[in-house]
Amino acid sequence: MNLFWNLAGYEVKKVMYRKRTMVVLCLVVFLSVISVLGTLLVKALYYDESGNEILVSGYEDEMIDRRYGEELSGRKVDADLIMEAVEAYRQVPIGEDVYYSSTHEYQSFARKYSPIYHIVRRTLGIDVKEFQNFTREQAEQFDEVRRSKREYVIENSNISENMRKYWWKCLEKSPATLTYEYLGGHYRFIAIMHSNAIMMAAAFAVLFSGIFSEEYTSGADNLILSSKHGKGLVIGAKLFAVFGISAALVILLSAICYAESIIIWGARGADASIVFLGSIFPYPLTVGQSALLYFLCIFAACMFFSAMTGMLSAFFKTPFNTVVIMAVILIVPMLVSVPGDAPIWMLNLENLLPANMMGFWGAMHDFQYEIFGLVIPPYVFLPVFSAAGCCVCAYLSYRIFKKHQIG
Amino acid sequence: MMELKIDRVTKNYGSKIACDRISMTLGKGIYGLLGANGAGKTTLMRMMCGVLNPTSGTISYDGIDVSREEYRDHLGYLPQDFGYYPEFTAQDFMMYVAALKGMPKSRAKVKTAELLEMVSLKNEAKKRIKTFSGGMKQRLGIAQALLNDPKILVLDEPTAGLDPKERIKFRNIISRMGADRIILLSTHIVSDIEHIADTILVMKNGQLIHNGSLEEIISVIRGKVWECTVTQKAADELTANYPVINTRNAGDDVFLRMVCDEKPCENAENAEAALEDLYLYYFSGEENGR
Repeated sequence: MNLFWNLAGYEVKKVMYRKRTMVVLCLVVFLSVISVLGTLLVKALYYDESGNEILVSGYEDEMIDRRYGEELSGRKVDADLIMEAVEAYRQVPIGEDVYYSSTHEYQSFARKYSPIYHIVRRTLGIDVKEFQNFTREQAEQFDEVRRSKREYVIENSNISENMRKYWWKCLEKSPATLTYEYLGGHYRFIAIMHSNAIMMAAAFAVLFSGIFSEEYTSGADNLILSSKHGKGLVIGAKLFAVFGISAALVILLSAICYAESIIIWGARGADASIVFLGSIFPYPLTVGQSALLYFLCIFAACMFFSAMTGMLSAFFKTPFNTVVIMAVILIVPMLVSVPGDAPIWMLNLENLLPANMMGFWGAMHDFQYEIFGLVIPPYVFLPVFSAAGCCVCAYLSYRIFKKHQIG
Repeated sequence: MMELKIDRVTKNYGSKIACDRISMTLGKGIYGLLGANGAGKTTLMRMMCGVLNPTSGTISYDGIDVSREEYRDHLGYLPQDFGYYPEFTAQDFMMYVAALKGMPKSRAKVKTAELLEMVSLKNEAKKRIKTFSGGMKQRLGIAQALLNDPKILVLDEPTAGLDPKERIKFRNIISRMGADRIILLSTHIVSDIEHIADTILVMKNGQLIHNGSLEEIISVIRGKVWECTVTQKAADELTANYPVINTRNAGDDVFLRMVCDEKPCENAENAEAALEDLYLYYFSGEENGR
């Protein structure tokens, strides 16, 4: 075992000693930090108590939202709160020449209630004008309508009976009346992690494209494959380096992103319902649980991506081909998507592409995976699928490198 | 027992036959492999080191097949071209290769120090390989091949890039080692093989055409090596028609040493044959494109 760790250490060293590794790592860490702080750098328009226009820093602007959000936290989203929000929004002039959120009235009265407006808007599909005309009767029926909409979807979707039962079960577990919580840091973490994950995957494509193929191009494969452990332990050590470095980087960058988000926006909201994250499907999860499961999906997807990079590296004679193919695998799913009315299996298949696995919508997708009658939510299926994918890629890397012929 | 058995080993690349049914059994000693470029030397060595699978035939050491880990445990290999990790120091590189060979760290450290001293790289042990000259890299390559005290040592062009002093030192090291292991080395520097090889193997067009001691090999061209001093015009004619080993100006005339079956000119006289003559006899046509 000591020998394995010794070899693994050398493989890590080989990756880390490359100039491009340091460049890529510095860039990824820098961009990751900036991605969280980015919104704080943009100045925003605000109105003081006298109604005078003032420019505030991005940080101050975010803190205004945080203060408003925390003031509303713990309140039930019932008719009283909805009508309070409606009253506040009624003071906002809606014109065609100016966007309502840029007005003094919005900033002074309605902004505080914007989270409530957005919950109602998302649930009922209404715009700001319709919200201003919202009646008390509608507000009192909000929970009922919310549930009936979900029931309609359950009854009228073209899904299997097993899935329908699962949907019903989730609906039963979801709270009848929502209790608002300011999500702050958790929301930011979830919002930012997709771009961070894509960035990390791109970095892995560069870092690991040469893990095997650079041995071919440099001619070191001669020495490795003719050595005692060259066709066994060394391959394991290389794969360990791939998974170890990937895991360390994903954990490190996620931890940086999470810490930054929590420090700036606070840790409130971990116990709030997933509905506040904009999820359409009411999985029986809290925001904190969703963030953790989402992180696991990203972690698994990144491992899978790195494993695929390693496998292609073993297959191709130069790192360039691997980088190109991995870039295509990463970018194409972001440009092309399966239509929403496509069969479920196509949507589910689309979600198995690493770039989609890294999105929150992928982890909390409406459609679950059904295997032999067992309905598995995506946040469980995706990590399991990634783990299986990692095993297949690791095995193929092992086979390809072991059987590599020099000549 | 110590026996490396190569049994009807063939390697085809499409329709090209790189090695053609090569069979031989190597015991303790130093074997020099001679052949022109493309004769199949490197292919044969790669197959013996398990980095290239034969199309047919088997290679085994004391009954252990070349594909097995135990076989590689007995092997030391210096490839013709191989990669160094430029950012590694010489010591790092040696320790890495030692790990590849499964050596415990403590033994690897001792052996690394010993071998780096042997190849005169002791003072450069902590320097990065990217700062090394070609000769230093080659010496490092030789050192790594010896790390595990191999029973089978395969050296492909080991003296390439070494200066004469280093070459002589290397030859002496190999000579000492040949007593209790199987050493196969290929080189274009015929004198290296002439000095240290107990057995000489000659390959041509993928086939092993000679396998014997220096004496036995040279006997093939005994009586076919000629020396003469002729005019420049005659020298041009002879050079065009016969493999010329050596040309030297001798006043207004030219001294020539040639290998050919019949007497090339009237004043030619038989000379003592050497391995270089044999090499030229077999391969001059190929290397000149004839």
